[in-house]
Amino acid sequence: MHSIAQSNPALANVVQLDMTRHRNLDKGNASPGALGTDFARLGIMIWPALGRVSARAGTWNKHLEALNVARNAVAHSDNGGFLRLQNLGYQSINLGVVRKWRRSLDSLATAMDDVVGDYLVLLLGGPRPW
Amino acid sequence: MDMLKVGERVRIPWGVDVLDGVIVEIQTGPTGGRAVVQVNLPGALEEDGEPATVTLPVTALQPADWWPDATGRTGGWATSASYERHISEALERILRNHRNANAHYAKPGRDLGYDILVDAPEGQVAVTAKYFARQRVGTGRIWQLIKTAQKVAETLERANLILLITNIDVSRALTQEQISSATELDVPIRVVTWRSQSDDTSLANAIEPWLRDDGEEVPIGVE
Repeated sequence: MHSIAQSNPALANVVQLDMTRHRNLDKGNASPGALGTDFARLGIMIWPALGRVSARAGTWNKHLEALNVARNAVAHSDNGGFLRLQNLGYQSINLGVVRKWRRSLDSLATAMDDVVGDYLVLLLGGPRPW
Repeated sequence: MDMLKVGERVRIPWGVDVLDGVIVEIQTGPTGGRAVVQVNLPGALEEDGEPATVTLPVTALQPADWWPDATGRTGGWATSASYERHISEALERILRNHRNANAHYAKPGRDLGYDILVDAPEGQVAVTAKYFARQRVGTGRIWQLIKTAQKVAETLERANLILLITNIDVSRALTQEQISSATELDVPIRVVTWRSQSDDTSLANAIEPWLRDDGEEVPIGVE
């Protein structure tokens, strides 16, 4: 974007608008599929890439999915959602479960930072973006 | 690609990855042919229940047998990129003790034969990081890397050392003496195994003698 903006700011605006329009994260929860779709716009298959760098990526994916189901079940008082949680292996949502999800999300966020940074260096070159 | 047909399987370069796709429509026009391709985006949602499609020039498509080991390899770049990042971080830790040495990173798309060039007052150290998915690699593969390193040595005027860093123990296949006697270069080629931060000391031992500036005290070890 930076290199386009220098030579053609109008084109940069068009590209930026299209890259940020209708993002799943703007209209719904950060589910694993929503993350996968939004990052695919940038050319990153985020879940396969995370799976390459950590054996825990599958667990992070499952915990994120379960957290989203739990969030919707609680927010909308949705018994179907609670039933789905049971099918995912959660008989109840207690402090221990929530803390486990939080630890997973912390690790996931750190790994995503690393993978996306690696990707940008590989694609664009230059120093690490963060 | 010649003679594209609807239903044909193709591969599409996507970022630094390659995606599998199937042609669902071919459009012809005065500016050249374009194809509508249904692509599989692993880990992504289907928009409104529909698989994703992209429209792109037929010249951007690759045959299904292009990069034959690509199937199931989506995201494979992340492993080697992650390894190179860890090597960069290890070098940064070591170079903190050598304020006169600077690391320069090779830009993608420019095959210079090395990943990082450490510039020191007394010369340069060209560093290549190579991650192997398997713990045992044939001798031929290692010789290929050594030959590439030799070419690097010939192109750099100030090179003092060519450093090849891998996650495998190369000494199982080749000893340092075998490498030195076979290459017979003025610029030595050293191979170092680095798997984690605990290997920083062996990496520092390999590179530090070449970073020494007059009057600079070389640290004994690296934390």
